[in-house]
Amino acid sequence: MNANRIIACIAALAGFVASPAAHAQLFRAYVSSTGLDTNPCTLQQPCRLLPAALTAVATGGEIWMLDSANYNSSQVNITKSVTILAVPGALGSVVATAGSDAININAASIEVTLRNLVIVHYLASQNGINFATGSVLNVSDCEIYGVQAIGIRATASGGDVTVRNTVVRGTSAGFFSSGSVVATLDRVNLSGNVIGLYPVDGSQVKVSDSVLAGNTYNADVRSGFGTTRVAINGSVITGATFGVVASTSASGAAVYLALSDNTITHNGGGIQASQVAGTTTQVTADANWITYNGTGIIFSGSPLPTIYTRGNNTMKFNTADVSGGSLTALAAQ
Amino acid sequence: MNVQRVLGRIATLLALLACVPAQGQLFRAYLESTGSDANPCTVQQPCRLLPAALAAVADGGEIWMLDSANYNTAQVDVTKSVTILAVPGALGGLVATAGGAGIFINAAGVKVGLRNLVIVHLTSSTYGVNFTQGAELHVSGCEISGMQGSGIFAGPAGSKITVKDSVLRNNTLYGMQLAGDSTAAIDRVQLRGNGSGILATTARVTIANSVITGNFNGVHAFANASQPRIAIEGSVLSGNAYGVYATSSQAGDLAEVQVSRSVLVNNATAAIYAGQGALGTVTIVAGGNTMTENTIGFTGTAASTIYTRGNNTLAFNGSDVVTVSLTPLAAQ
Repeated sequence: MNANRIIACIAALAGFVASPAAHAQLFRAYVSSTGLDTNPCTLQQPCRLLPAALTAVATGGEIWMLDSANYNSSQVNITKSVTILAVPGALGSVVATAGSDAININAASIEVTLRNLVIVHYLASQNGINFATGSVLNVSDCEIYGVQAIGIRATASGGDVTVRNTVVRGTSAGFFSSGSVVATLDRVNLSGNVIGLYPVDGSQVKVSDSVLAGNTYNADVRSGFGTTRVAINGSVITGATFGVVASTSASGAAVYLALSDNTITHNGGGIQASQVAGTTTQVTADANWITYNGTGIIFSGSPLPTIYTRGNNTMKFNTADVSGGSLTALAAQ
Repeated sequence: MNVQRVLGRIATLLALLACVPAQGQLFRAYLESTGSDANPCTVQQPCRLLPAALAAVADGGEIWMLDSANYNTAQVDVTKSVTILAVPGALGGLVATAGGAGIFINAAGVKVGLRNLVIVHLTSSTYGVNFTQGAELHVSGCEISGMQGSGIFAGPAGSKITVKDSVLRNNTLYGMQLAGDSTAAIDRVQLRGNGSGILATTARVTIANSVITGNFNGVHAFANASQPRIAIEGSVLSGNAYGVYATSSQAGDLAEVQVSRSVLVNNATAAIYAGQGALGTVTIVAGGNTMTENTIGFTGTAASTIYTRGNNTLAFNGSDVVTVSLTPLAAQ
């Protein structure tokens, strides 16, 4: 009897100790296919779905998906700094469903990292990852496909985004950024989307070692207001109706696009730059191979935009190399 | 008694509910080494083989292979949009056997993704993946080897193909055989020891960051009543008989190949061969390449056109340029 009472007391105590951690203070929260959302999201007693884990985890903590499963049933709202990952060897699935985003990040100053996740469309969807408010978003080793709106949508004011080793395919836009978002994309594959890369209205994006393939627009760099600054380096830009488009649409807007060491092939138009009065569109082309396009480089608008070249781009097998304007020499320094 | 009857009815109802999605409407269908094809292919009751999962999954859905096993006994016919994957850490094995392909994709408009699969030859095979009809094929993290035909055969005109982070090796005909007017982006792929690495007859192909080694022809642009257009960027072509081989034979044929910023080394006959025939046109443009330790750097027929940017590095070859002449191409 005494022994039983002691065990009961220990059990009660253990429950007491476990309780506070379960209520928003876990450094790591765990989810697994066999978990239960009534569990405390500990390793021993994992939860089932992301919302429970997000409630249980402390700000700045981690959520581990322990095995291969889907981990949400509706939009996942993130309002604290957190890293969400599937452990290596597990497929951590999140669906965008019920006309919503898969993951919506929406609280001031938070820093969110998403690693080794697969985000797919189910029935009716909006965006894969919607970075609406926050300070940092890191996306790594993820695959996002089929969502009806945008794969990764970054509009958070002042947001700093990195995306690496990630695939976005079959969406309306693979990566979209606007306003004061600054983004760095490395080893990203954007294919079969309506628009692959879609930075607009003041955002700043760097892309390296990536593949933009088979989108209707591989890259559509725009500004209706603000200055959009984009650099694409060492990437393959192929198989689009529109390869890389740089355009302004309203007075005061500007686009600066730097293209270096890329292979721009098999597009209807390779590089297309346009501007309207009172705006600036400038492109630099450095050591690109621009081949097999309907037209390699297209100027349009009034006045015409400026496309600088170091005189070191290789253009061949285009129906026409340059149309609508002339390249401007840029001396090396 | 009453309680038991109610429980029984609930159980029946649940079973019924579970059945409904099994009749072609599962968003995800699951396979496992311990599954049974009599199951509904849910995660609780996974199926065993791909055909059952393909019947169970909804158009546009996914099939997950949950553990390491082989998941077919005959050619797998895919006639809906689907992504088939082995979960990370599992080896999703398929065989191409009985004179068939591993996976045969054959319906207009379908979009198919294959991820983390290993497809091997068993007894007699044609292709690892035979993409005869469809809109898109995305292959990622796959290894396809030993086929008596080609690793990947892709035919559909107007289709889009991406292959990334994959290995295509020891296939008798080609690692990748692009027969139709498709557009293909090949990135970080190893083509090793195939009859030839990549054959394009009509396709528009861009190959980047890839290693093409130990094949007969590394990349073959084969114009025969057709117009292949291939760009090779930042890749390694080594130990082939010919690194790049481009030929034409009929009037109107056009074989165009870009070779840029690549390393062509140790190819036994030639790094680049431009073989314009009596009819048709073969044009190659080469720039920024390192071409060393080949028997010959550039060769082919005298009628061919080889443009260079004047910035290729040729050294340690038996001969740098034989029969062909190089035409300077100005940069812009």
